[in-house]
This record gives sequence, C-alpha cells and structure tokens, in this order.
Amino acid sequence: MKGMVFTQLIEMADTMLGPDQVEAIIAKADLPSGGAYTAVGNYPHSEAVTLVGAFSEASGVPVPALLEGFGEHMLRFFHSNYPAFFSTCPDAFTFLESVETYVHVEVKKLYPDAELPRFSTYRMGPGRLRFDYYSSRHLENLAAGLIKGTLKLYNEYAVVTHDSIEGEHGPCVRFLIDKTTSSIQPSA
Amino acid sequence: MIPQEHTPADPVLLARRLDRERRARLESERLLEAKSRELHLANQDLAQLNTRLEARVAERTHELEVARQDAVKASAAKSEFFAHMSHEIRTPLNGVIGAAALLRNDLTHPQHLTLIDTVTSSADILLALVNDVLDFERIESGRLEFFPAPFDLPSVIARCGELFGPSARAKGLELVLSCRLPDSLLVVGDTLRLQQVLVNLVGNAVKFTRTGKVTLTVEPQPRNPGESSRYQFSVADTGPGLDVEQQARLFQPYSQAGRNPADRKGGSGLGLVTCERLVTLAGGKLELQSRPGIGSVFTFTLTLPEALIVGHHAAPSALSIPKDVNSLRIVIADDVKTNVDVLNLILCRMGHTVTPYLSGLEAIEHVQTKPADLVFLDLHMPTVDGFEAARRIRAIPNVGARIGLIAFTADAQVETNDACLAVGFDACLHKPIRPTLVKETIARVYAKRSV
Ligand code: HEM
Repeated sequence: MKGMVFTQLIEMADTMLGPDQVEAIIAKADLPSGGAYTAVGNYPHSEAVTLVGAFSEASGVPVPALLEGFGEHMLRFFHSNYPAFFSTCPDAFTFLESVETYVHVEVKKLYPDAELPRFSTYRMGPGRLRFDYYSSRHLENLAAGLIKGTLKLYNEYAVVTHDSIEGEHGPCVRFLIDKTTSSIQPSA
Repeated sequence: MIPQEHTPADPVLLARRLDRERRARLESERLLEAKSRELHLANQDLAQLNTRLEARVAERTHELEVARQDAVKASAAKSEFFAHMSHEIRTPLNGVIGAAALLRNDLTHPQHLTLIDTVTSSADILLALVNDVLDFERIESGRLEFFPAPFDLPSVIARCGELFGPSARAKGLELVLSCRLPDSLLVVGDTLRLQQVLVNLVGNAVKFTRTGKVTLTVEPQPRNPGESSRYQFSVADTGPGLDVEQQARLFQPYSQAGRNPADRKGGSGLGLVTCERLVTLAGGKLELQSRPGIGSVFTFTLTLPEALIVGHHAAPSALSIPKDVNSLRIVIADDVKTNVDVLNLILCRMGHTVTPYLSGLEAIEHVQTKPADLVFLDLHMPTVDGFEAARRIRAIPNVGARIGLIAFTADAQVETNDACLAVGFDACLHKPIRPTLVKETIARVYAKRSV
C-alpha cells in the first residue's frame, strides 16, 4: 500500500488523538517498518489494518466509521494536492465516473506498484448514479468516505447507500448515490 | 486543512517521533535516489531508442528513395522500350508501304490493284496508330519539340479541304472551309503539328457526322500594336455530340481502354488527347462545346507571328525558301537501292519532286546542271562519300550555298552530327529514315535558314 495512505492516516490520527498518543500507539504496535513511513514508499497492507484497528480502539470510533472519516480526509488531501483532476469535472457524478477512466489510470502511470480498486458506474436517470466497487482489500468504507467527501466538495447533497452484491465482474459493493430522494438541502 | 501541531510533549515520545521522521526521511531519500537513477536509465533508453528510430527512419527513407528511383527507372525504360518498339514497327511498315506503292506500278489486274490498295490502306492505318502512340509518348515524356518555320496558313487550311473533301462528299456531308484570311499569309509556326491537330479534328468530325456539315473556320483575332498575330481555329460539326460525362472523358488518355468494345471508336483513342496536349504545348487551349443530338465545336487559339520577309517580294538571302516547303526539288544519293527507294517514296508522298541516284558523283553532276532545292546524301558511299560530295556541292559557285544539304547515316554517334555540320550539311538524319523525321528535318532546315 502506498506510503501516502500511511502518512495521511497518521496525520488524521494526530488530529484525532494528539501526537503523544499516536506515537505511543505506533511504538506499541511493533510494526515491521517501525512506522517510519514516507509518502513515496510502499508498505504492507497489514500495517494499515493494524494501525486502523489501534486508532479505533484508542478513540472508541468503530473501524467502519473511522475508515469513512479517513476517506473524507483523503479526498480533501487529493483535492489540495491534485486539483487538476477536479477542475475538469463540473459536478460530483462526473468526477466519480472519471476515477476509473482517468484518475486511477494516471495514478497507475505514476506509481506502477499501486494496488487500485476497479469501478463500474451507471447513470440511472438524472440525479442517480450506480457505483460498483471491486477490490480484494474490502475498503468499501474508505470508498464511502471518498464518495461523501466528493459530494461535500462539490456542495451537492445525496443519499448514499451500499450493499454487497454479485456484480458484473464478481462480488462487489454497489453504491447507490441518489440526489433525488430527499428534499433536504446541504447545510452551508 | 488546518495545520496541525505534530510534536508530542513527552520527551521520550518526541525523541521517538523524531527518530521515525528521520528514518522516513532517509528512506525517502533512498527511494528518491533509486527513482532518479531509474529515470536516468529510462532517459538513456529513450535516447537510444530515439537514435535507433532515427537510424531506422533514415534507412527506410533511403529504401523508399531507392524504390522510387527503381520505379522511375523502370518507367523510363518502359517508355524507351515503347518508343523503340514503335520505331521498330514503323521501319518495316514503311518498307511495306513503299514496296506496295512500287508494286502497284507494275500491276494491271483490277483484282490485284484492289488487293494492293487494301495492303496500303491497312498499313497506313497501322502507321497512323503507331504514330499516335509514339507522338503521345513523346509528349508525355516531354521529348516533343516544335520546329517553327514560315508557312502559308491558307494553304494548310486548303490542304485539309483537299484531304477530307472526298470522304465528306462520299458520305453526303458538306465540308465548309471558312478562312477569313488573305489568299496568301506567311506565318511562323510548326506547320506539321498544326496540320496534325486540324487533320485530327476535321477527320473525327467527318467520321462521326452522319448528316449535315463540317465547318473549319480560321479567324484572325484582334490584337494591339506590337502584339503577335493570333488566330482562332474551330471545327464544328452536326454530329451526334457528346454528353457531359463523355466530354469529361474526352481528353483523358487510354479512356477507350475500359470501354465496352461495342462503344469503342476505331483508332488508338489518343488522337484527341494528343491534339489537346499539342495545343496546350503551343500555348493554346483546346475547348469543346457540345450538345448531344446537335453537334460539337472544337476551338483553339494560337499565336502565329507573321513571317519576316527580307526585302520586297524577295526570298531570304542565303537559302532560297521555296514558296511551299512541301513541294521541293530534291536529289537523293545512296548506293543501297532499297534505301533510295524508300526515301524516294517518303519524299514523293509528301509532294516533293525527287531525283534518285546511286552515287555521290551523279548527285553533284545533277546540282551543277539542273535546279534543286535540297540534296539528301548517304555518308557512306564508295568513290565519293557523303562528306566529299557535300564539300563539292557547297563549292559550286552561286548554287552551292543556296542548297539545303541533309546527311543520312546508319551511325548512331553524336559526333557524326558535328562532322556533318563541319563540311556544310544543314542536318543529319540517322537511319532508319522515318517520314515524320524527314518532314521535321526539312522544316527545321528551312526554319534555320530563314532566320
Ligand atoms: C484525485 C483523486 C484520487 C486520487 C489521486 C487517488 C489515488 C489513489 C491512490 C494513490 C491509491 C492507493 C493505491 C495503493 O495503495 O496502492 C488509491 C486507492 C484507492 N482509491 Fe483512489 N484516488 C482518487 C480518488 C478516489 C475516489 C473519488 C474514490 C472513490 C471511491 C477512490 C477510491 C479508492 C479506493 C477505495 C482505494 C483503496 C484501494 C482499494 O480499495 O483496492 N479514489 N487511490
């Protein structure tokens, strides 16, 4: 897994728990890398699982919610570091569709060792997007956070639900992003 | 994002974090170094690939150039072969025509006469076809030259009338010559080529028109002072006419090739194409106006400057230009009988009066005692060869300098030309002797002498 995931995870944890606690958790986790992460490096997926579990335990936030929060955090990070990916997309759906066809394609060029999920998207009429997530890493909660972060970034409101199903290319998590079901508007 | 304070308060934890950060930095430096090296190598690979590609491009370009040159060479060789074959066909054909004409004199039986006339007309058609192909080949390969010489424009028109009058009358057609020119008008141009175009256009018109008339018109065009005279030629018929599609195809070579045999008109199909190219080469434009069922009009305009005549009613000084270069008094000398016969026949057919001899001495004697405009001398003759004969003729007082002298030889060397010019010949013809070449050479000799 890319080092930037780790450095960002620690940065988020620093904010949530404070650097002292984070440092103590890392020391206690006894990670093979010793926790010396650099954004350009590559580290075992298991270390991320260990860290997320430890941060969840320390904060009392359940793992799914923590991952979702981390997804929103990552999206803000992506937006400030790779604004070009967003500036070409006028709305959230267009951006979400472009992740599979463009963003992750470019990511793969930059980091050939990146392990990326696969998506297939489908517009189910105006305001409704079907977004299928395929990955052996089962980071659907992270994906949910990234999707919600995207909606927030574009200042759009939608109801996001997900379900594990048998998709076109095997088991997947199907997200339904619906901007039409509720009249509730996003708070400013 | 709000900037965060990432420093633990606890000194032990702080030391740990610093250590972690330090190791992360070293690791990132190592990664960066590796990545840089990778990039450097990739760059080198790319540069190498680039050089290899450039070399490949150069190689392919070279191959292409070689292939192109091969193709050009092959095409040139083909054209040359084509031209050569046409010549080769023409030589025996001239023999056939010549022999047939000679044979005709000895025949009396009407059936034999009909047969020999069929031989002659078939050979004539074949010759015309070969000439068409050869002409076209010469035009397309840029080897066609014009030989401008003074000629009488009205008589060129009259000749067309003489040539096609009989066949037009036989079909019940009227052939109208509308020549808005003085009775005699000397202009400078390539009379053979002009005649070729007119003969083609009038010949076609007569061939394809079933009823009505064919009109050949020549009109001087208005001009400003100082400008050369221009003449508009047009050939109008009341024939079947051509639709737009046929018109578009008309000036395209080989357009007969793909046609249904039933649709094909006799001939090479190159006649009109050649006319169009000739007119274009002469600085004009052959245009067609045609309506199906009504008829066609071919029109072109040529610049034909008036011939300068030195003195009043006088011929130019050196060589006397006969009124009509197509009826000269010509002397031939060659020790080979068949050569004399063929050349004799060629010249007679052009309308010249010919006296043939089998030795150079006889030719010299003739010039000393009788009037002659032009002498053809074979270079290789026993006793007095062509060079010697030419020298002696030129030395004859009064007459010698005014006579046109043409050498003919089987030598293919260019040096022969220089040797000929050195002893006073006006031109040198290489065998086989071809009628068009003979015609062209005569025209050129007079053009040169008249300047
Ligand atoms: C500019 C925007 C984005 C960039 C630059 C980006 C880049 C990346 C990178 C570098 C990784 C790590 C790959 C690895 O660890 O080997 C990753 C993973 C991932 N990305 Fe994106 N991403 C972007 C947007 C999104 C969005 C909008 C989604 C929405 C669902 C998404 C879903 C994921 C998920 C779920 C993973 C985790 C790997 C997995 O599940 O298999 N990404 N992305």
